[in-house]
Amino acid sequence: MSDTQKTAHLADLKPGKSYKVLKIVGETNIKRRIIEMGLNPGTEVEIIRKAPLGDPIEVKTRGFLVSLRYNEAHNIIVEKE
Amino acid sequence: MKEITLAFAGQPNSGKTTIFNEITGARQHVGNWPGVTVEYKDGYKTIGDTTYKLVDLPGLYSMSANSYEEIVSRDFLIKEKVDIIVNIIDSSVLDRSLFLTTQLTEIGLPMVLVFNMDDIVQKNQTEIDYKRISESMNIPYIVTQGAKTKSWDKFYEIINEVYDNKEYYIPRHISFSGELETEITEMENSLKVKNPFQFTDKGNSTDTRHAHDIPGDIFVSKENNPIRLRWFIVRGFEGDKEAINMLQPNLISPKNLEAQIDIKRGHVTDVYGDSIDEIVTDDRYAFISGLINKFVSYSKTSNKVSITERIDNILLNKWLSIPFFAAIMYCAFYVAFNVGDFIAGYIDGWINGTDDFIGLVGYITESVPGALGELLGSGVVAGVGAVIVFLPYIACMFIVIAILEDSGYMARAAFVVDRAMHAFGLHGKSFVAMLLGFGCNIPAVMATRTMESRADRLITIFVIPLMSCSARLPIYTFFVAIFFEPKWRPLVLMSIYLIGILVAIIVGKICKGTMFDDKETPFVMEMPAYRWPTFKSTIIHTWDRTKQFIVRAGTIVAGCAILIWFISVYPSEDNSIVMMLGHWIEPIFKPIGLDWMAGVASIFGIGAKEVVVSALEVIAGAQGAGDAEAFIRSIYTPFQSYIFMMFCLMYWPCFATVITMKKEIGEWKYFLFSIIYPPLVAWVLCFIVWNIGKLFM
Ligand SMILES: Nc1nc2c(ncn2[C@@H]2O[C@H](COP(=O)(O)OP(=O)(O)OP(=O)(O)O)[C@@H](O)[C@H]2O)c(=O)[nH]1
Ligand SMILES: [Mg+2]
Repeated sequence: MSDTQKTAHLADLKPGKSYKVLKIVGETNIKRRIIEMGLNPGTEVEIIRKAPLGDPIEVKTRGFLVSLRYNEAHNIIVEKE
Repeated sequence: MKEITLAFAGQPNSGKTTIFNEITGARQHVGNWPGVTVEYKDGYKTIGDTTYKLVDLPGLYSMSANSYEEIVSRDFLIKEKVDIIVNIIDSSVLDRSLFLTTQLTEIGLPMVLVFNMDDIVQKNQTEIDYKRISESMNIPYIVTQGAKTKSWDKFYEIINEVYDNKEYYIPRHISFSGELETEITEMENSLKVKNPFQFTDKGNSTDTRHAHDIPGDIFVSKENNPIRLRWFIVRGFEGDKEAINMLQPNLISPKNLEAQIDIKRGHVTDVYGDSIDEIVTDDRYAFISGLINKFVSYSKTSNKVSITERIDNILLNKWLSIPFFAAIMYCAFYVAFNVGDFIAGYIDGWINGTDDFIGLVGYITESVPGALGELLGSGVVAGVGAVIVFLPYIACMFIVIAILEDSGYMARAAFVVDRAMHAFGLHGKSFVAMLLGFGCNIPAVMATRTMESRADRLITIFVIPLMSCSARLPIYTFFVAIFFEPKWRPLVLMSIYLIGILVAIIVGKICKGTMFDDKETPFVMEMPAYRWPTFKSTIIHTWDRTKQFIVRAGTIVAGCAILIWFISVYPSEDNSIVMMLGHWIEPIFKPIGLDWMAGVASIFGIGAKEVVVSALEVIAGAQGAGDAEAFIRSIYTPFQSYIFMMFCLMYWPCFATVITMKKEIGEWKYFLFSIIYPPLVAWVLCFIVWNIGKLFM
């Protein structure tokens, strides 16, 4: 990744704050699925919580809730500040 | 007489089936989680000389169609005869819902937008200018509130108007950014279509219904629908090979469209440095953001934490979510068993004042003369009656499942258990299917269609028969009532269900390890807002399912009861056909502690599981001079009855489930596995438990 100070993988972040999606990486099909659900670059996304066993992760975007597995959330690169 | 075909398309959980049911009076399954409908269903409504043929499609997030039920919808829209696409939109998540809309507009079929869930929009104090949004795409619209919609007059009015003036209502599609749009238009102009079709622009300056960009657009006349050429090209650019293959036969030139598109795709990617997928999706969302900014205003307070999130904070709390999950499941089953038990006891007592059917059976046997009386009494009434008394249990089970489905907890349960399921080769969505399986295995097998990975889907289908369906409940309740004290009954019942789940987990783990490679699969699942289950929908759902049980009791169970009665008294009661059959198969059942009677009953149960109980009632009735229960109590121990329950839990899915499994699995190899392993596992487990248990009993 370019600048590790400013960007982060969504999966590594803590609940409670909103971040802006920069880029989705990874396998085409899964990437498309994520983008089409509304998590395209520029969208605000917030981690709501992690499931009790750490995976999957519940996020909120565009006013609705969606759950993603850790790997998918890892492929979502967000702006930290 | 004209018939207008309306395809109900929209994203999952947007209310398509709710509206379909409202209009047609049908009672298709509605539930508050994405992926309830997995197969398309027709319904009709006739007004005057017009018949509206409504087709309720499974929900789809986008035309890319990632799972089987989405493919069903997509194919229907493109390949079947559709006059108007009715796009149901969840207005409370307007931007994401419109994503699909921007894709549907490209097809070029006339559309109508249904802005559903307006009640939620109003509650959130969001203001949406539906009119301007629809106008921007040249699509007429209505605003609805699902089942609470007061009148559908406007709906028919619009449909008629659109149907009679299709050329005015071809939706306006979006334009993509610079280079991509240029490439698409160039290609559109360069292709030579065999039977091109164009709408003539009847619009004039005084008519507000202006067919905006129709004249230039070329339609490929397919047998059923004219589909806009542009649709094929855009799909092609997005990497959809199937769309290109569909277009190719309709082209005079070029001969190899796929290769040409690949070159162009490469070109666009070079210019932007992004994949086409991303450009296309970005442009769609950019268009949508434009609409939202101009025509939607969110209330200041809409940012506050919603009720759904507050409930989730408790139910999905890090420490409490698993205890809550366990408690909810426990309560669900506890209620199903105990309320069922209470009502059953009440009905039983009310029918003839005794605890069982002996009175009625005896009465009929005596009052109708000859063999017919015996057939009716000891065969039909005893056999069917043995099953019908369990109706309350079955109804309660379905009520509980319906409430779970309608509340919105289904998706949460999948979320909580996904990680654990994953460890056993299953998936969060497997849980939803498995839970439905406690009602009936058939819809459970169908529900696996929403799973994107083939391996996940197959493994889930393999283990679904281990979920005790409601038709197996009579078997357990029958034995539990004979052999166990009331205070132990719920525990014994639960333990049987748990054994099924445990075995499912082990089977899943083994399959995942041996048959399929361990590839990561996505779990992108929307978590819908919580809703109160409505009384009406719960009752309708329960009744429809329970009715099937009654129908089976009157047909297959009655039929089997007659047959079994006949072979259990001829030629004579202590040398009957059933005993011969029984002694022939006894060697299989002896090692697991069961006798010939249990063996015969379980073999008849292959058709439908309830038959096991009715067969036992009839055979034991013949053996035990009319009092089947007393006879059964005298020949089995409680331990044996437990072994038999375990055996019935696992030994074979019922026949109807097997047919569904073949349809959904496809490949013979996997199908054969799915029906051969259960009896083996059932026998081996019962053998082990019986032989170990014997040492202590
Ligand atoms: N508040 C509210 N709830 C609605 C409305 N329309 C439907 N619902 C509820 O939304 C949920 C989903 O409804 P369905 O009709 O099953 O949705 P669907 O679009 O057929 O869903 P899939 O078959 O999964 O694609 C159910 O709980 C309905 O009761 C509405 O206008 N307002
Ligand atoms: Mg539906």
